[in-house]
Amino acid sequence: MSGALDPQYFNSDSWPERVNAWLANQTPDPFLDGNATLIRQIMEHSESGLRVVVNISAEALLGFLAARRYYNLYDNPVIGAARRKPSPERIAVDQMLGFGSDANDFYFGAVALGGTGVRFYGEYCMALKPWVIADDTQILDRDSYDLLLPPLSNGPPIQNLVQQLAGTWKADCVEMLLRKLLPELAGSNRLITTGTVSEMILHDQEFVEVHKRGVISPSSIEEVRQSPDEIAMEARIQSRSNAGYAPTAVELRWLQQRQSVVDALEREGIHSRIVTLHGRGYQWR
Amino acid sequence: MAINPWCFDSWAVMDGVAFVSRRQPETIDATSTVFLSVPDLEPVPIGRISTALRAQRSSFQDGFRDPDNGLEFTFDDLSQVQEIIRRAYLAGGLGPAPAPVEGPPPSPFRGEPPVAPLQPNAASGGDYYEAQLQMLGDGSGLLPDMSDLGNPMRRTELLIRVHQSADAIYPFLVAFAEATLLECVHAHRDRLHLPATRETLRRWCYLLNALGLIDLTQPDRLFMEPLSQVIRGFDRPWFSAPIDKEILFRIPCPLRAHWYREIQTLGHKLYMPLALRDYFSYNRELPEFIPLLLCALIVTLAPELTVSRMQPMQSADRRRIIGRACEWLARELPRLTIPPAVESALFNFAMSRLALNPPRWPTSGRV
Repeated sequence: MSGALDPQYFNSDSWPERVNAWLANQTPDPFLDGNATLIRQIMEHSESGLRVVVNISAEALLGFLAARRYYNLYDNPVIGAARRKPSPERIAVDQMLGFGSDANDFYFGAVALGGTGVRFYGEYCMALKPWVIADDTQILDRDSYDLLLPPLSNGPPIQNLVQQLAGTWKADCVEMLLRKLLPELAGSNRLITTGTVSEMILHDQEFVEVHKRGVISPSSIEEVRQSPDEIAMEARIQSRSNAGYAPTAVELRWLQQRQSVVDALEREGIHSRIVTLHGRGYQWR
Repeated sequence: MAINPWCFDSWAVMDGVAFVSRRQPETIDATSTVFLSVPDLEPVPIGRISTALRAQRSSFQDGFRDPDNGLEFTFDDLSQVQEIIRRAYLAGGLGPAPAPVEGPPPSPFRGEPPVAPLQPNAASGGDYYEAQLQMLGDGSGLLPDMSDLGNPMRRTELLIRVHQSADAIYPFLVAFAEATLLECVHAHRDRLHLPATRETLRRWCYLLNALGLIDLTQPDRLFMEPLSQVIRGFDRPWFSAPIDKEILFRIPCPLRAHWYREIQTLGHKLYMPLALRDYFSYNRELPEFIPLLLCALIVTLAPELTVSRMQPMQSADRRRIIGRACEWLARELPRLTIPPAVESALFNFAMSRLALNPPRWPTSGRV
């Protein structure tokens, strides 16, 4: 069924105003008010609160630690030929996000509360130190490439839309996430837990995107997180091998690559740990 | 209605991870998008192509295009896509791992005390293998042409002949195995006093001994005095090492005079034939197959699959382990026919990765 975009969400009000407007429209619910307060406390906690995370694959992580600088895109393909010119999608997104001629200075991350980030983009999740994120860093309430697809690509003029969906790290991040989370909690009749907040903030391919300006170096990294899934896969390959079932060549290379990452992280003294999707250490599950 | 072909949206080649969509080339109007990742390469459906395109902001390359005309390659089915990701991932292993130009300051507790390094005067493994082949011949009377290994339809038949010829092939394996030991001592001659190097050599000796390729129970009868000196000096017993299969990526490869000088480890001699379908079209003789067979023996080695010291059992033991290795190779060598232009792109990628390694001299006389 087609229709207009929800005007309560897609409008020019500030994110705090949109949260307040949404709350004002709800049936009085003490749990909803309590959850709003709780979520703010959880997200704003200085030591365990929100972080910008960048997912990175093994080879890219090794390259980043070797070059001491993160490159978030390849200018040239590794295999095959380059496009004759940059992809129209990339040009379009750069223009929509207002990067202008400085597009190469922007690095894409996601907002997370614990957890292992968007694992499609790499099995290693680098959590950046909070102080390397400037207060005025631009954030978007979703994957910016969603702007290329319906219904957003058929919606209001794109610059208006981006203005409605964007915000800044310091001023808007918590409120943007509240606006995203609270509708899912209406009528729940219970107080929310940290694990649930973590899952709702970054779930599968749903995340708040961060456009960090300026270089990311190894000293920007607070810690590197991994999911237990990869650790379990690694252990399974090794235990099968010990039991006499030969690994595939791909499995051998994968193990070798992961060992190189362990060595590189140790060499750099970067804290690395295994966390669940809920963002807690595995031992607390 | 025609079904759209599969096209690569975004691909982290070196990490064996890709997003592919059913769509027309040069469009983003996808009817299906999936995510594939090593080690299993099982397709995971993705709801929208935007997730795939966004990956280009995270170290994925933009699509996969024909170098001749810049157009996107298209594929009829996912099995071709999986084959390409798999083989490109293995080819990626031919290059060096990124190494820090300048690492963090060294720990004051990790400095090495000044110890006079052991420097046995070992010849290179490449020289030794060549000398042994002078005596053994090129194996043409045994297995005259290995090029069928590149042909999935005829490969099994050839590997069955390899299996049946286990006893006759063993002297070639012994020669190459001994060459790897010499190459270890030769390449690491100024590092043999370091614990990590000694441990690698100890583990390698254990594996070769388990395969019946050397006999460590009688070190004095080992084929070369400098090596037996090193082995006698092991601090820990050689017969209780773990089966460390990743050691293939740490053992320097003996180089014959005509082999690429950029080949560094045995792992490279494993990856090249597994990534490049035409490898044995250019390397048809049995001695060219031996390094791959040795690697496959290591990968398939299990505690219960070793070669006995008891003479009457040895022939059956050899045949058994070579059978397992051939079975593994039948699965791991290139499986599918892919378009020639894609095969060519894979070859160029593999060679470009290999070329990133520093060249080694193949013979001791040129060191």
